[in-house]
This record gives sequence, C-alpha cells and structure tokens, in this order.
Amino acid sequence: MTAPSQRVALAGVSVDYGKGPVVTDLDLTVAPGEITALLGQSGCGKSTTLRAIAGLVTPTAGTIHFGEDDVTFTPPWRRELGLVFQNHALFPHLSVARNIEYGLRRRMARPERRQRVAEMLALVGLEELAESEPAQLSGGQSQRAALARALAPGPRILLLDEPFSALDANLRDRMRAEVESIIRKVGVTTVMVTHDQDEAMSMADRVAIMAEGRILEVAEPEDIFRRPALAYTARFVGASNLLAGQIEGTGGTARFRVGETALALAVPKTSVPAAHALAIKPEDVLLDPAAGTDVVLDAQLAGSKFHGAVRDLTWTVPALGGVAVRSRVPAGSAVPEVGGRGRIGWRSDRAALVHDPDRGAA
Amino acid sequence: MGVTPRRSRGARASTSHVIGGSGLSVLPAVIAFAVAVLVPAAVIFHQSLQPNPLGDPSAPHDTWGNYHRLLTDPIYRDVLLRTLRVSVVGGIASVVIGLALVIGLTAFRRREVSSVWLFLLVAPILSGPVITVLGWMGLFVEGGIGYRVVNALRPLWGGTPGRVAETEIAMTIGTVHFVVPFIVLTLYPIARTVSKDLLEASLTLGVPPVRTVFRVVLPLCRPGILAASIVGLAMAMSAFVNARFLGGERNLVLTTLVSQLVNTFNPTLAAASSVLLVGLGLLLVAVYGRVLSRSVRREAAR
Amino acid sequence: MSARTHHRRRQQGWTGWRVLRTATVVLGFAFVLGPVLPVVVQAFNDSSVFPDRMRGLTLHWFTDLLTYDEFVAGTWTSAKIGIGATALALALGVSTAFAVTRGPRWMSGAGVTSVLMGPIVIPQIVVGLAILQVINQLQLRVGLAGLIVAHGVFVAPFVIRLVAGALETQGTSYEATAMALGSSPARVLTSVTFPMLRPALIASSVFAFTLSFVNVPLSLFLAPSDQRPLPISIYQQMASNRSPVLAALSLLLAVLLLAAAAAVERFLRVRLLQ
Repeated sequence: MTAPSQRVALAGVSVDYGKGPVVTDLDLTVAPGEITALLGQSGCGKSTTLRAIAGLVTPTAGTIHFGEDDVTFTPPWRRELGLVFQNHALFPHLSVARNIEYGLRRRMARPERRQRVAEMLALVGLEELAESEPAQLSGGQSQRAALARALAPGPRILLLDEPFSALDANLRDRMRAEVESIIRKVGVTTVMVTHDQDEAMSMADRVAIMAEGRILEVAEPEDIFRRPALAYTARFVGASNLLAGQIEGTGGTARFRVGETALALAVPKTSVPAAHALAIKPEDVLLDPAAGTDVVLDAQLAGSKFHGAVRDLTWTVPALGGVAVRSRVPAGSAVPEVGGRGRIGWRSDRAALVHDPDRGAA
Repeated sequence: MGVTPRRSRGARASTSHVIGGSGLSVLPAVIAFAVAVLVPAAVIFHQSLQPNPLGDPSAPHDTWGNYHRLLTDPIYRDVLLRTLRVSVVGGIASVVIGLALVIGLTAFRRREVSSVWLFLLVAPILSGPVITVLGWMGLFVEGGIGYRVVNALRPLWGGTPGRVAETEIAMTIGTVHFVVPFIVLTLYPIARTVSKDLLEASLTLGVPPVRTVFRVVLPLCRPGILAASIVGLAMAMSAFVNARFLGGERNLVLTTLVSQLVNTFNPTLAAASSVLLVGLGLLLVAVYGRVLSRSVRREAAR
Repeated sequence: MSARTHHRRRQQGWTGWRVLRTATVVLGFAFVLGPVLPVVVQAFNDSSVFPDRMRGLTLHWFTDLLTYDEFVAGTWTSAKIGIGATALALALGVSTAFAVTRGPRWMSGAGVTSVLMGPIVIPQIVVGLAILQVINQLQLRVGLAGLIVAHGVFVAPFVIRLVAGALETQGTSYEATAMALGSSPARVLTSVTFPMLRPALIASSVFAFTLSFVNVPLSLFLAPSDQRPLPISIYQQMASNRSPVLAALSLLLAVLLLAAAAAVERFLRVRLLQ
C-alpha cells in the first residue's frame, strides 16, 4: 500500500534561525516502521527538529538520511513524506476528497487517483464526508482527513506535529488509539512531536526526551517511565521526588546515601556517572508501608492538598536531612493531621537512580 | 477596497446596548453621499438631455441626441473604444502586476513584510499623480528608458517601433502605474492571511513552490482578486491626469473628452459623456463580477 | 557544540521560485518607483527644457519656486482644503464605521458597503463636473466649500476602511467594562473608545489630508479661478509651459508628503497600511 517504510537518521543536526541555536548537534535514528515520539516542553526544539526532517528548515550543520538517501538538501516536495500539522492545515477551498487527492496529481492517472482517494477515505472512515468542506468537519474528522491526505501519496516517512493538541480531552484518547492503529496498519516510519507524555507513552515504540535543543535520552516508553537515566526525564514523567546523594558499595550490596541514611537500591547501576539522585514518583511513596517494603522512614506531615480523586502530601524526613518528600494517595486514605507523624516508604525497585547534573535542585 | 472586515458573531450577540449599535450614525455619510454624488448625478443626467446652449436654437431638439452622437459619430466612437481598451487592458495588467508583487512579497515567508517595502509600493498614491506623470514623460521621451523598452517590446503585439510619448501605449502604462498601488492596498491584507501552514502542507505533499502558488495561494486570494479587479477596472477607467498628459490630445478617452468638451463650451455633450463614462464603468464592473463569480461557482461545483 | 559556522546551507530546488520571485519583486518595484528617477534628474538639471539630457547640476529650480506666487498661494489653498476635507472625512468616516461594524446586520452587507465605498470607483472628474453644475444651477457662491465637500466625501472611504478595521479588532468588551463601572456613554467614548482608536484616527487623517492635497481631477472644475489648489496650478503649467520648475516642485512636494507620512508611521507607531 505504501513505499517500503524507511529508516530516518539524523546525524549532528543543528538548526539556527540566526538568534542562537534552536537545535544543537542532534543524533536520532528511527528504525523502519517504528513510531518515535519527540517529547519535551514547548521551546525545546522538537518542532524545529520535525521541520528539519520535513525539509521546511535546512539544518546549519549535520545530515539527514531517509533510508540510504541523503536528503539534507532535498526540498520538502521531493522528500516523499507526509506531515500532519498541529492545526491540520486542510485546504479550506477544497473538499475532503480533493484535499486527499491534492498530493496525487502528476503521480497517477485520474482513475487511479479516484481509487486511491476512496481507499484512503475508507482507511480513516470518512467515506460519508468525502464532499464536505473542511470547515464543516469536527476536530476528530479533520484530524482523520489530514492523516489521510498525508498518507495518500504513500510517503516514506510520516511526521505528526502535536497531532492531538487541537482536540478536546475526551476525544484525544480515542483519536490516539485510532491514529495509532491506522499508522500500524500502513506500517510507515513515524516521527511525532508532543509535549504530552501520555501521548508519547501510549503511541510510540520509542520516546526521545528533548530539552534545550538536544535529545537527552531515547528509550522505550516503559524504560523512560520506570527507569529514566536522567533527573530531567524523571521529573518530566512525574517523579517529582529527587533525592541527591552518593552510591556506597558495589554489586548486590550497593546502597544510596542521602544525608545520614543509606537507602536500599534494587538494581545498582554502576554505570551512572558521579552526580546522582534517586527519583521516586509520589504515587510510589506509600503511607504506613506494609511488610516487604525495603525503604521505610519516619516523617512529619508538612502539607496536605486535596485534588479530587487524589490527595497530595508533603513530608519532611529528618533521617534524610530534612528533605521534603511528596506522596500521592487516594483521596479517601486515612491521613494524619498536618504536623503529625507517620511512616512512609517505597519499594526499592520503584526508585530510579538517575544522573543529575544539577544535583537534584528541583 | 470595497471590503469591510467581516464581523465576528460573538461581538454581534451582545450588541443591543453597544455604542453605535443602532446604526443611525450612518446617516451623515448617507446625506453627504446624496449631496455630493446623487443630486449632482441627477443634475448632470438632466443636463445631458438638453441641447447644446451654443448650438443652433432653431434645430429640432432630440432628447437623446447627445447620446446618439456619442455612440454614432466615429470620432466619439473611437474615444469610447479606446476607453474600453485602456481600462480593460490596463485594469487586468494592474491586477496581474499587483498580485504578482503581493505574492512575491508574502509567499513562503514566515516573517512579516517590512512596512518600508509596502510604504514604497503605495507611495505613488500619497505623492499624487503629477510627479509620476512628469516622470513617465521623461522616460517616454525619444531615447529614454521607457521609449527603448516599449519599442523593444512592440513587436510582441505586432506594433511598429516609433514615437511613444502621447500614444495609447504610454497612456495604458501610465494608467497601470496609477492603479497598481491601489491593487496592492486591496490585496496585501488578504494575501498575508493565507496561512503559511497551508503552503508548507502543499510542499510536503510533493507540490513545488510555483505550483503551490497556483493551487493554494491564488484560490485563497480569490475574493480579494475579485475586489481588486473591480477597483482596477474602475480606476483605470477614471484615471485622468495620466490620460491627459501621456495619451495627449489625440488619444482621448472619456475622462479627457469630458474635460475637453467643458473647455470647448459644450456642457451638455460633456454631461452625456460623463453619464456614459459612469454607465460604462458600472457595466464593466457588473460583467466582470459576474464572469468571475461564475467561474468561482464552477470551481466550487467541480 | 559545533561553532556557529554561518555559511548558509541551502536546499536544492528553490532556484526556480527564487528567480521568479526576485524578478517579480525587482521589476515590480522598478516599475512603481522608476518614474521618480527622471523627475529627480530634471529637478537638478541645468537646462530650461523638460525633459532634457543632463547639462549640469543646479539648485536654481528650487529657489525659483518661491518666485511663483501661484505655487505659494496654491500651497495655502490646498492646505485649507486638505484640513477641511480631513475634518469632514473623519466625521463621516468615523460615524459610518460605527454603523458598519456595530449597526444592524444588513448595514455590514455588501450593498451598503459598496454604496459607501462607491466614491473610490466613481470617476472623480465626473463628480467634479456634476457638483459644479449643481452650484451653477443654484447660483451659489461657495468659495472653497464645494471643494471641501467633494474632497471630504471622496476620501471618507479610506477613513471608513481604517477605522472600521480598528473598531472590529477592539470589539466592544472594553466599552462594556467601562459602562459596567458606571461611565456614561459619552464618557466611554471620550475615555475608552476614541483613545483606543487613536492610531487609526491618526493614520486616516494623514491619509485623508494627503489624498486631498494631491488631488487633481476633483478640483479641476471646482477650483475658483482666484483660489487654485497647488496641484491644479501644476496641472495648468504642465499643459501650457513644461519647465523643470515643475519637476523641482513635484519632487519637493512628494518628499515632504512622504516624509510626513513616514514620520507618522515611524514616530507615532501608527501603521498607515493594513
């Protein structure tokens, strides 16, 4: 149905609009047929990276390859890619069918074009709306039309720029699943850009965390979530507890010293460079931990805040040198008064040892 | 120019107690329009039906005589045809040039066009027609740049090289020059709203820049092009200073004919020419608007 | 980090478009601005014939200007007309802009708009003649009033366009807030609406004055023989006696008007265009 999906490789790519670098020395390889998400906050250079892959901006340094072809200096119209814009960018003067047909002219004869458009409409389930104007479509429909338009010419690469940010929250989940299944069906190599970690985690085979124009780490969603290598990533995926300290000992007996206390470590990572922190998600910090919890600490409750389904608690832990530890519990849980004492803890396999150049200055 | 900004619906919903919400403030302009345009138009129409005050008083009076003369006398028919030629050719050329300029300045650029460039483009409106007409006179003089360019291009439409000053070509060029800034003024606000995302979408779909202009930019500028065309036709037809000095006395168009008839004391024929000029303008605009909107509709139906 | 090597790397394939765009823009600007060149040259050319080849530099065409009484008087006449026409155009244009943007829906429709914008496309020479006929028929002695009315009505559409655009963008919420705080409509107009409209009002005043100041066809028949606006004096000189003085005068005029407009745009941070 499409051209054989291809590898995308960026090597040493830098982009500079003239006001300092936006993307710096970036390397990224996306395997054929894989979905990779560039995840980062706005202004981190992820959209610029996508635009560089699309050829809408020329990198000031580095190379971009699609398969074996060096496309660094190839203009967008010869890259054979599909790009779904944040606002979908459907041509307002053309019907849905004609939008989908737009990239097919000069590629195939009219009857084939017709057939291809029909296939694409069926693929995204818009057969009924073929003759509608883009302005009449709902957010989800226009999203599907944009996807169909991008896929119609059989691109080597599919690029999605914040594809779901224009949609209502309740529509977003459904569209994610739908779009992912269409992409999987077509099997096209995909790079998507998003600031929403749920989106990246749920759709992508691999997630690249970006900040300040660089890729910090690339890993499978599970690893990014459970075992981030960097403090930045840990914070980004919600591990707001970062405890700075040092590794003591080696091998199976390694522990992590924070202040006066040595904490148990599940998987000692001797490879992590000197500056470390232990990253723990608030929901993994347990209240009155049960047996089998290998880190247990006495703490004083410093703050408590109700958030609907959950309650966020802030603890001070004397044994850790008075560091604040945040925990998140179901709203109905029994919680001491603010100022009261309690015991908190976590399973050591839920804590990730991360590299932290800022030494946990959260 | 005839484009008023579309109003947002939200603003409308709560307008019952808005200042100016009654719309009565349109009255001064309506009165002024009536005083300065409608009443004079009626007077001049009435006058166009009168006999020449300096003519033979014993001759039988023919109510439509002035019009009859303008439409049948070969001299005046020439003027009429020349007016049509200059305004249609000049109007269309102006729209093409203005559109090309506006697209050249805006397409595929993320940055806003510097206001200096726009200012230079509309400077001729602010400086008035006199300076540019003097300039064209200087360019069209034998051996001047304009003279050489026109003579180099003349074979293209089968013309013979020769004098340029005080010819229909000189007049048409001057007219185009007079109209282009107004076209830019009309088209620029529309062209700059064409979303850059749409152009980039087109590029990524495999359509190179020039074809993207034809397949995306032009269709999206269509309402603006219609408005600009009407402005262009009407202004080309009513251009006066250019016609007077670049076309000269031998290449009269209706505007210069009116002026000449007034100076030769034939006010009733001048009045009839004026009515004809306005009528012709309205007719051209109507025909043009119809043709263009039909092609829009055909496009939509496709 | 790779140092900022600023040899710009370019994509292939854009050449066609670049050539086309550059050619269009260069030719377009040459066409629009080219005619100024001979005027500049002739204004400084030491030759009494217009136009002539370069025979030496001189400034005496500029100093000669002051000896032409009609030009000096014409400047004052044009300024008076310009001020009157601007005031009239502002009154008509602003009130109409309110009606068009906030009045009943039909007023923003194509019909009303095209009637109000009509003056832009009606041949001005015809209107000048027609108003003259009315004045003659009623045997009025109007002095410059006829000119002021004609100019005012004809530049009003530009004011409508600019002010309606501004009113549209500013909306009515600020006014609603002021009224909710207890201001009377009159006070809202003077303390909220008009201050917010200031850039549009300045821009349209400059536009209106300039358009009136340089107008020929409207004034041609309406100008009283003892009070000729400047462009009419120039026009008549062009028809009878083409001298480099005209080049000097029109150049000076254009430079002053454009400088004024540019200064407004630059220093008052008002956008004349859009």
